[in-house]
Amino acid sequence: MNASSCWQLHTAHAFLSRASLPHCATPPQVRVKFVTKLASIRVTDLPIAVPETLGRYGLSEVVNHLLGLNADTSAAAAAPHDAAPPSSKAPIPFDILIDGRFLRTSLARYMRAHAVSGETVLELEYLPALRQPTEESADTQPDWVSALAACAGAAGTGGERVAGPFLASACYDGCLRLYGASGGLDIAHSARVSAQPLTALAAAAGGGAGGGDDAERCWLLAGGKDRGVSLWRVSGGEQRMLEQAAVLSGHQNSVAAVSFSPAGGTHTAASGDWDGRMCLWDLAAAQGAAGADAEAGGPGVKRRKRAAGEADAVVVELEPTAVFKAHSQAVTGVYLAGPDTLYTGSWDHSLKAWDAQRQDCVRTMACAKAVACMDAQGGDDAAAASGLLATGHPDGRIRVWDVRTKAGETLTLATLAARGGWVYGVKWAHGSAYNLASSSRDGSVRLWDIRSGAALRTLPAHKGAALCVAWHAGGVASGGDDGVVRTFKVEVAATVT
Amino acid sequence: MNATSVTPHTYRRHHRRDGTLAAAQYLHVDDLSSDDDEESRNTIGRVPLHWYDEYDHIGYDRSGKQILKGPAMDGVDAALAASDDPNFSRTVYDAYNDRRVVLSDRELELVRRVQAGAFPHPEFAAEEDYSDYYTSQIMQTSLDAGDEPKRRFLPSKWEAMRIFQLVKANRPLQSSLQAAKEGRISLDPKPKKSEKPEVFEIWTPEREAEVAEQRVRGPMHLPAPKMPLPGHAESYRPPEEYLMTPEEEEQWREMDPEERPTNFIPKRFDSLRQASRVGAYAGLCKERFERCLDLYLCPRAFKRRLNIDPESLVPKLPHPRDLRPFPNELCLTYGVSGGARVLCLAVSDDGQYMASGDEAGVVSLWEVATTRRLSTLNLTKLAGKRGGAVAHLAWNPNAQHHLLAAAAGDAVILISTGTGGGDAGNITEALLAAAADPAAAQPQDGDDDNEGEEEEGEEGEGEQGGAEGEQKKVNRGKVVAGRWEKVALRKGAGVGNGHLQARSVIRCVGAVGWVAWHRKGDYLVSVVPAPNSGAGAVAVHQVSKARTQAPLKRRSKGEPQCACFHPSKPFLFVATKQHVRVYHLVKQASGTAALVKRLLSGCKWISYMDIHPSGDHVLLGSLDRRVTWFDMDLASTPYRALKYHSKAVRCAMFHKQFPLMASASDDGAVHVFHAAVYSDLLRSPLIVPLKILRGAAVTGGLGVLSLAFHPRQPWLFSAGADGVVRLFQDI
Repeated sequence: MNASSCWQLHTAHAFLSRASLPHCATPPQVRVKFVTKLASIRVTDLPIAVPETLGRYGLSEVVNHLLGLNADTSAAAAAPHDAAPPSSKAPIPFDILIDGRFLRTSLARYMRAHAVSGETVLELEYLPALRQPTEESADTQPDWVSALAACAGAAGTGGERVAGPFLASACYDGCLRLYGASGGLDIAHSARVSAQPLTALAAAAGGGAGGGDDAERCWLLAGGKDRGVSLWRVSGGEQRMLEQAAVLSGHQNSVAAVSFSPAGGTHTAASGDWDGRMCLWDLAAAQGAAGADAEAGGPGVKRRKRAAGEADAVVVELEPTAVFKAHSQAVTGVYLAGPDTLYTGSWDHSLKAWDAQRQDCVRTMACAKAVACMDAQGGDDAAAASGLLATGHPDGRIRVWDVRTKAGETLTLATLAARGGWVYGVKWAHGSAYNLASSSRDGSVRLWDIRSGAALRTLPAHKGAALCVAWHAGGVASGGDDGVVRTFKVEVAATVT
Repeated sequence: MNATSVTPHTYRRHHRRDGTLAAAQYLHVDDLSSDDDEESRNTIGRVPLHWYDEYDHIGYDRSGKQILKGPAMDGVDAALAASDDPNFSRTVYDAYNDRRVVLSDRELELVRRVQAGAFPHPEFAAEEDYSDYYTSQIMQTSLDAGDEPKRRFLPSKWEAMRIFQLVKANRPLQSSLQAAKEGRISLDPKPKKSEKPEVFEIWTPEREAEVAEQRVRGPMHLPAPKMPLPGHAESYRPPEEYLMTPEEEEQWREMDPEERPTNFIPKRFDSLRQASRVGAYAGLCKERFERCLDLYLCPRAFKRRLNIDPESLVPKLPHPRDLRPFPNELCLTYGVSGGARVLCLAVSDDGQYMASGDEAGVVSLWEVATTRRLSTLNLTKLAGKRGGAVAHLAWNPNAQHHLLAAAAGDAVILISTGTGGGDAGNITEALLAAAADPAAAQPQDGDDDNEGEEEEGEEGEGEQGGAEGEQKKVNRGKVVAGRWEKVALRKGAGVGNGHLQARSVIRCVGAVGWVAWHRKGDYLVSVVPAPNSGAGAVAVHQVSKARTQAPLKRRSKGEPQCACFHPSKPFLFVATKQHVRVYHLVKQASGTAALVKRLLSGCKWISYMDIHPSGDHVLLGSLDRRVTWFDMDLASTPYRALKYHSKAVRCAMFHKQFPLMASASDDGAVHVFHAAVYSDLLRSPLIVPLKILRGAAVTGGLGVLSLAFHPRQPWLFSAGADGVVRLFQDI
């Protein structure tokens, strides 16, 4: 042990004896090693002896001390809302990961529970704790908000973002509403899709056929109780507009879930309905229609003019490229992982993986409860997708599935008990392999880390039920049956998957 | 060799010192030789030698030759030898073999020792040097292994066994016989005593002989019942609380002697020595006499007490946790408390929607997952004069028909739910085409007859023909069980617009209390439970042709309460207040459906009936708190009558897919059962109570009024008198 680490040990002891230890006999100590994936807050990786009575808070203090931050306990406990870079000398509350799980007890208890010898060096990973999100803004809609979709926006030709980022909501009054990019929730544009409630919404960026104008657009796919799915184009820079691009007719029952394929070229889409049927759509004709009007679409494509006032807007009627019965009950979760890989979740207590080209069930994953909602890690970004699926269930639980496991291995990576009743929505955080948001019957939005058994944060967002949740730029948005769309500012540490 | 009179000890010490002892030990050869081994040449045996005195030989050698005597040694020879021969002194004559033997030193020593009376062998240590192993001195380390073992201090086990054997062997005859049988001891064989007398009546049967023997012995001894033991009150000095107050004493005296709790008045004395005061018990003689009289006069009999473990009487049922899934927790609620009483529920085939009908005549359509009320429809105007409460709702079981049938007032109202679109919407519209315009759809009588005859040919095909078969009755009996009326559509009404829309009204003979669909979704049966409603009480309506038939007799017994179609066969189940009648819709008897079976429920007032999806089991709920299960294959009496509700049962039904059963009652509780039926006819249905679901508030003496199982999930809807519909899930 060199001199500097000796010093650190000494100071750590001195600090501990001064700050946080009860004035009893010195408790047994255990050697720990602090590691992190964030280079900016890295400390020495030499083992340090700490009392084994320390829990998360104490260990966080130790790390702060090692970082040389002001270890004022009251400041650390208060967990200030504003971000505190290390240079500002304000302490950062840390969460401690031990063996891939959040430490929620003292080290001694952990070691007893896991039969860890006191002589081993424990490797503790630390990361900044998720701070209590702050409410940003709220907007009241005339009816229940059933679905939210956020899009990071499309990169324009010049590199600047042309369309987006934006947040769109689907409402029980059959309207689609588009919110602006900036923090406030001001409706940029709204469009009436149907006389019946909308229940499913998906957003995607890009997807133009020939680049140019189309590449700057974002797309929305909305489905509802009227059995129809419609494709909407989000266009324009300053003046956001919703333009209907296509009507996708093929479902015989209410549409419960829609999904775009990952970005790149034109999109394909998948939608599932309450009969357990899946429809696959090729959106090339619709997405290319704006620019290349004259070109004839593929089979099953009809064109119709919009109302007289918008003579130039062409709405394409699309027919599904494939219709197949995927489940015996309602399909409530659809995820198109690639052009030919499809995951579906259903009320019939199963998740299925499909070969979309052949409409062939590759794998069936049995679930204990009906699947109420589903989301895939990585979302529309194929590169970030890691093969993790999260499903919400009527029993108030969220199950995390690893679809990469081979047959026979355990599929459920984690079961998170939300205890808030029916889980209506679940969404993975963008760019994070571990963070989730869920909305429950009791009107709360919960923020999860799948390495932690309990919710990291619970936000009372709605008076009634929180029907949907979405991650958008810098936070999480939720909609509920009180007709309110609410956004919260959340800082999730971007982690390397 | 002159060492003669020395003690062996000194002798041996001497010899040890000069080395002769070692030499003698080295010479220890005599141990290996013996007389037998030594070659004895003479073979005459052990005969006296003097027998050969007269001969010149002294015997024979092995080859049979004579052994000649040598020349006898006379004195001169001896003198010469004594001077010449150094070994003379140790030479002895062996007369037997006629030879001279020179003795060795050892042999001389042996001879000497024998003569001295010592041990012959010089090396034998008769008195070893005493080495003192156990001295009084305590050694630092023990010489042997350790402490004395424990067994040294315990009585010997083997001795005990041996003693036991001996004792056993000495037991009286019975055990001795046993011992003898086991071979431990042997006994003198005794003649076995014959049990039977040597002379007996050979022709008397054995049983009679026993009876006769019994008669001789008299009746079996019955011990007299024991008298109760004296208590504290009988004591000469009872505690205070056992003494009577003057009032109690007065009361005791006034009582009839038969009724007195005790036949004496407890008295207290300070000590027993006050004999003159304690005295003898006065009533002793009388009591004894009465006791004897009792024993003498009262016949006594042995009462055989059944010794049954009560646990064994409880049926072995599986644990509820092994019978999951079943609804066990309240999950969602629909509507707000305090609204109109919800009387009936119906769930759509895909489980997406639920419809409820309330006392105010409003039918509501709910989205199951989100509890959203999608649409409402007020039926009061259509229901007629008899009030507008929606008594019963039934969702069309055909997934293509998005149609509800509601019983409200004196009408059955067909409601399109607006949930279907596309193909399903067209099919629903096609089905309703006739009902929407009944005047145009009703054909002339002549056409009807023709149609009826045409249908007759199909009757053999089974269920579809079954419902159609009864068209003839309408024509022949001219019963007006239902009158179809057109309904003005709301503006912008369409099939797939998501709104409830009344499409047709069927006026019945009285207030309709029940409506149920046929499996195929074209026919529905309605019941008017009012008394004296005649043949129109049970009416079968065909939607596609907008027609109504009355399959039952004009004057059928009882007041029909519920009616259901068999799920697969052309049977109609009609429950009156006390019975269930099963009619065959194809077979006809005097123009009406033939009665096939009659189930005797034993209930006073049947309130609800459900048919198991297999069609072989009928479940009844009754207002006298019973839930009755009939197995149609078993008997016309109930397989089980369950009475666990504390108030009237309002609803009892089966799940369509899961082996579940539930019943609801006015006590506010919903009981959920596992109800498994087996295709094996020998196996009776298994009913296991699983869960009591509470949550409905009892308002106005009414608790849960209606139930509905989710068609695809193990979930249960319950509608309470508090105006709230609850969804219970398996969590």
